[in-house]
This record gives sequence, structure tokens and C-alpha cells, in this order.
Amino acid sequence: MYRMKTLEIMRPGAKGTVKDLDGNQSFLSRAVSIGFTPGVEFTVLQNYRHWPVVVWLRDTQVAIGRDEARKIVVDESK
Amino acid sequence: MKASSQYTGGCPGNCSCCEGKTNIGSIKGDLTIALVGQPNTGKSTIFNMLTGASQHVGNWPGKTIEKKEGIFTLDGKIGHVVDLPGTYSLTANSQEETIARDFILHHTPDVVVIVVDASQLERTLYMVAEVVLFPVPLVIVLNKKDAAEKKGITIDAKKLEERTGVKTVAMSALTGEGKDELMEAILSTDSDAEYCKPDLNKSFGPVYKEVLELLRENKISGYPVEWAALKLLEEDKAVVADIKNVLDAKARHRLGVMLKACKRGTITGADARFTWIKRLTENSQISEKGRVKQHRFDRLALHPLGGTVISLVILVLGIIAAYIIMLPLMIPGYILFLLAAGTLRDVLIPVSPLLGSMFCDGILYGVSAGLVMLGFIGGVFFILGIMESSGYLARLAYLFDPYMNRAGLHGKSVIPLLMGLVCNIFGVMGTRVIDSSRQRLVTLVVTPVIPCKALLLVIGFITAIFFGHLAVPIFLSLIVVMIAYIIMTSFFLRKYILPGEQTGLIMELPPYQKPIWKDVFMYVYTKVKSFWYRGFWFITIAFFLTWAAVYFPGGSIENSYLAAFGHTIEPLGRIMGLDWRLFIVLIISFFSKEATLGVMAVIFGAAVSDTVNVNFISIDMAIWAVVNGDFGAYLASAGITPASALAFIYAVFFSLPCTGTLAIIYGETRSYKWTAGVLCYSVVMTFLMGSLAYQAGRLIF
Repeated sequence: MYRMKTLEIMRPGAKGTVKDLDGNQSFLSRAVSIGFTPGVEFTVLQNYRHWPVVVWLRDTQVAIGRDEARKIVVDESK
Repeated sequence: MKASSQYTGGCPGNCSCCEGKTNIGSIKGDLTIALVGQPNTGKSTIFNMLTGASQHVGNWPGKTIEKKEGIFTLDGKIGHVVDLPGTYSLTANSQEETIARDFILHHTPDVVVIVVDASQLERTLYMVAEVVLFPVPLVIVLNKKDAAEKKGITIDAKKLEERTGVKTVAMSALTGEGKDELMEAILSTDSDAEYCKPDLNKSFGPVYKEVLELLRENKISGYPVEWAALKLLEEDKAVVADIKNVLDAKARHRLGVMLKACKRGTITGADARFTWIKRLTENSQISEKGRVKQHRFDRLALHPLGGTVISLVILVLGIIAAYIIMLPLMIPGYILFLLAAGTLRDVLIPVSPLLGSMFCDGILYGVSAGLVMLGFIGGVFFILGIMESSGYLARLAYLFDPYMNRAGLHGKSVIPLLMGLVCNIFGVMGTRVIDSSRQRLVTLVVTPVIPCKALLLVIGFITAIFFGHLAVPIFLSLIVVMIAYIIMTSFFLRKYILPGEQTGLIMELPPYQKPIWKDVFMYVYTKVKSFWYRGFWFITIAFFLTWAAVYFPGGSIENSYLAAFGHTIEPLGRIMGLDWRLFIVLIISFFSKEATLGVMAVIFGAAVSDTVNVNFISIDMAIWAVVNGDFGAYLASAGITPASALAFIYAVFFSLPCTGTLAIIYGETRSYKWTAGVLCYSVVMTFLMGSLAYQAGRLIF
């Protein structure tokens, strides 16, 4: 069972796969170079309101701003 | 190199790394070695390990980005190492990335050393996937070998070398293990080596070949052709503009059609790289894949409330620790000060009033203030170096991102802004912790509006005298206006002066590690050196000039050149409702905020009392003046209206950065344009704030 959503609204502890990325070239380029590419798995570690989302991605913790997280479309594994 | 028959490298004269100046390094060597790598891979540790004390820190020509160079020798050969900015990719999204890739492209270093974090191989090999498309000899450094082993990852460097065709050295820059192997690898690179490259054909399909053909037909030079094709497909703005420029109309149109057909090339390109990485690392590392490991401390350190409390405690303790550590070095400064204020002056003044006053008030005060600052700066950057090396600084960036982002600043901007409270010089120097040059410059421009401790004392004292119980609301109004000022200045800068996209936070929160002492000491050393050459002498000279302006020609302030000057330009001060005395004090505050209260005491007290003297120039003495004399009473009876007082408070608060800060602004930006810009902007703002406050005051009181 998969449900489509963006990284911004995922709960801490949830696991998912990056499905797609929105946004302009400059954002895409920054996001992919730190490892947010379609198909990559991640775990949400923290997601406090107003604060950047912290995810475990490719063997490390990555913090991503809320506006940026909203542009990352994910498949949440249930 | 076979794949790029037309590309020969060389500077086209317009690259971002040298601006046409062919002499790109201030250090000469037999070999030029460029060091690249993503942030947190330990690149600077390797740089420090290789170059040691031979480092030279400057800026990239015409840029506000730090450039570090140094040399090492091995077997009689001298290697000139250039540390390129640490970036996640080589797509021209920022000045840092442009500098790094232009240096590799146009200055064809003899060797490019790519630093990779062995404990996060998959992610950090991304940079290697970028660089293998350049026809330059490469060396891969698998750094943090020890950390990887601790994590249970064993990496087969030989296998990686076989698969990539790139010389690979596994090492630990922390322990120095593998240092000799790295040096040998650097000296023995093979310029004809063929590297395994990402399979762009497979990832992009036919469009890649078409673009490649088009570039070959048109004999594109200046870029390795495969790399150029990839960057075109990835919509790299600089490469697209550059190549479209040299193509004729027909070819340009053809290229346009091709690029349009390729959708989301950025993602495809990254995919190609990660596929390449996967192929390389298969069976060459044994790791516990996918194990999520958040440090227990991070659960607290990254909590919006708990983390903020912890960070403030750390910052305050850090400043105190910095002070305590450096106290032995600051003591000579204090002793000089006491001598100047006491024994020495008693001995010297009777012998020669002019020389005695010049030596004690003009020279020794400045030197002692400079020495105390020099020691303190060492301590502050020692603590900051530990925070950076241990990985904590990245947490601060996360914690303060929501506040700072709203003002268009970086989360790490909180460091310079807080340090500015101690001294604006520290704040401006502290902007170096911000990775993005654009956000760094914006922070640097707004930092001087933060009131330093000297200014806070002045403001607190004056508001208390003139407004009594109203002091608190007035002080709060200053803070509110200051925040608005920061937000508006930042907005103005980003809109008109430094256009670019608003870039939100995307950063790694690296695992904590023990601070690497060598890195910390190099950090402190370069900061202290930089302050010594600029800040120290400027402070000393500013103190001397202040003394001279007040002393000459008559030996007292009322008939000094400064007073004469004040009378001449009084009409300017009148705009803000300031008489010549307040206006002079405002001017003095430009030379040094510490002197403000002292000069005020003299200027207003002189007429009534002989006990206060010109020498109340330093902050500590100003406190004495306040405690000992009826300075407050003089001020209150000096015939200053509340509106004028309010105007003065606002003008001083938003006044020019002191000369020392200006000198450091130049030191940090290496740009007369920016320094002059900050100066002009603050002159205008001083008058604006002063006049607005005056008019507001006339309405209110």
C-alpha cells in the first residue's frame, strides 16, 4: 500500500522513497547533489512545525527546509 | 586525452577564478594540486596535513570567497596545493561551485585530488562522478577510514581503483595514516589514464549523442566535450549561455530543440552518477546498509526548544571559556592600560604634558585595547573552531534557520550576529562560518547594526539619564527597529545588489566527531593573523587620531580641532536636532564606540569640572567617570531636549561601524566597493534614523 505525499507532511519515524522532485533547475541540482534522487529510500527523523525536516538519507542526517521539502514527492512505505 | 581532442584547458580570460589574471597563485610550485570535495569530507584536514604552516589565506580575485593555498615538498619536488571551495556538485548554482570548476577547467591543475568520506561513500563519490569527465590526472582520497571501520564498513581501495581507473588512497587525515601514500600518488599520477565514466548514453538516450555530435561538429573548445554535453542537458545556466554564444544561429536553434526534448535533465544526470557509483561500490564495501543512526544527543540538540536552550548555553559558556583561556594573553594589555592610566601618566605628564598625554592617552590606550582584543579573538575562534570541527555548528544552522531564513539569512548567521554583541569586529570575522557567499555578504552588511557591548553601555546609560523609567520602552523600540532594519537591508541587498534565488536550507548534519586540534589551531592562527594585520593597527591608529583631534591645538576639548569641526558642520547635526557637542560625540563613536562615553563626559563635564579629563577614552575609564562624577547631572542639565536625546540615541545606535570593523569588513571581503558601500549606507542610515527619531520625538514629547 502506497500513498503519495510530500516530504513536508511526513511524520517522524516514517520511511519512504523519493518519487519525484518539483521546482526549478537550481533547486533540483542542489537537492540531487546531496542525494535526493528518485528511487532513494529515507527515514524521517524529525519534523517539527516551522523547522527544517531532518531525514536519514544515504547514510547520514540531512536537514532540508520546509519549502524545499514540499517540493519532494514521496511514496510512504506502510 | 582521447575523449576531448579539442579541449586543451587554459584560461579564457573571463573565468571566475582569476578574472583574467593569469597569476592565480601567490605561491609557486612544480606541481599545482587542486583539492576538491563535498563539505564534511575532511578536505580541510587533508589540506592542513599536506601544507602545515606554509598556508596562505586570501580571497579569490574579485570574490568574497576565501582561497587557501599552501605547499608541500616530497623528493625535492614542490607541490602547490589550492583548496577549492567545498561544494556538493560542480553545477554553477553558486559562486563557490563556479570557482571550483573554473579552476579545474581553465587552470588545468597538474593533479586534482578528490576527497571522499569513506564512511559515506555512496553520497560523497558524487563529486568523483563529476570530476572524472575532466581530462586531468585524478587522485581519490578515501578519508575517514577509521570512522568507516568503526561503523563496520571495510573499503577495498584497490578494487575501487581498478574499477574507476583513478588512483585511490585510503587514509585517515586525523591520524595521518596514509599521508605518504597520498603524496606518492599525487606525484605519480598518469596523465594518459582512462577513467570509467558515468554511462550518459544509457541514462539520457539518443539526445546525449546528438548534443555530443553537435558540439563536435562546431568544434567547441574551452570545455571537455562530454562534460559540456552533460551540463547542457542538465541545464547548467553558465554552460548553456556560453555555448549558445559561440554557436551560429542554426546550430543554436538545433541545440535548443534538443534541450527542450530532454526533460528534467538534472535528475537524469544525477541518476547517471548514482548508477555509476552503485556499479563501483558493489562488492567493494561491506556495510550495514540502511541502518538509521541518529545520535542520542541530537534528539535533544535538534529539538526546537531544548536545542535552542542548549545552543544558547553553549554559546554563552563558549564566550566565557574564550575569555578565560585567553586571559593570560590579555593581561599584558590590561597592565599597559593601568600603567597608562596611573603610574606612567603621573610620571610623564609633569615632564612634558604633550608627550605624556600622547604616549598615555594616544598610544598606550589603543595598544592595550588592541592587545586585549587580539587575545580575545584567539579564544573566540578557538571555541568556534571546536564547534565547527565537532559538527555542532551545523546543528545551530538548523536550529536558527526558521528565524534567519525569514530575514533572508542563513541559520549560521546567528553566530556572527551574536558575536557582534561582544564586538562587531568578531561578528564580521565570524561570517566566515557561512558557506554560501551570498548569504555571507548579506550577514556581513547587517552585522554592524548589532550593538556591541561598548555601544550597549553608551545607549543604556544615556537612555537611563534622559528618560528614566521610559528607558525600557525606548530600548525595546531600538530592538524592534533594529530587527526591521536587518530584514529590510537584507531584502534590499538580495533584490538589487546580490540578485539570485532564495536558497533554503539543504545541508548535511554530519556525525559528531572529536575536534581535530590541528584544524582548530590553524583556524585560530589564520584569524589572529588576519586581525593583527588589519584590526589591531586600525584600532591603535583610530585611538591615536581620536586623541589628536581632541588634544590639539589647545590641550582641551572645547578649543580642539574636533570642536571647531563640530561647530562648522553643526547645520548637518541640526537635521537630527543635535547641537555641536552631541554631533561630535557621534563622530567620535565612529572612531571607537568605547570612546563615546568618555568623550561625552569630557565634552559636557569639562565646563563644570576639571577632574574629568580627555583620557577617559576607554570603556573602563568611562565607567569610572560615571561612578565618580556627577556626569549624569551635567548631562541632564545640559539643555538637551528629549527629542534631541532620542535622536542622538537612535543615531548612535544605527551609526557607522567603528573604524576597526570597517577595516575587518575590507579584510573579509577584500573589496573596496563593499567596504565603501557599507560606509555610505551607514552614513545615510545614521542621518535617516536620527532625523526620523527627532521628528518622532518632537511629536511625542
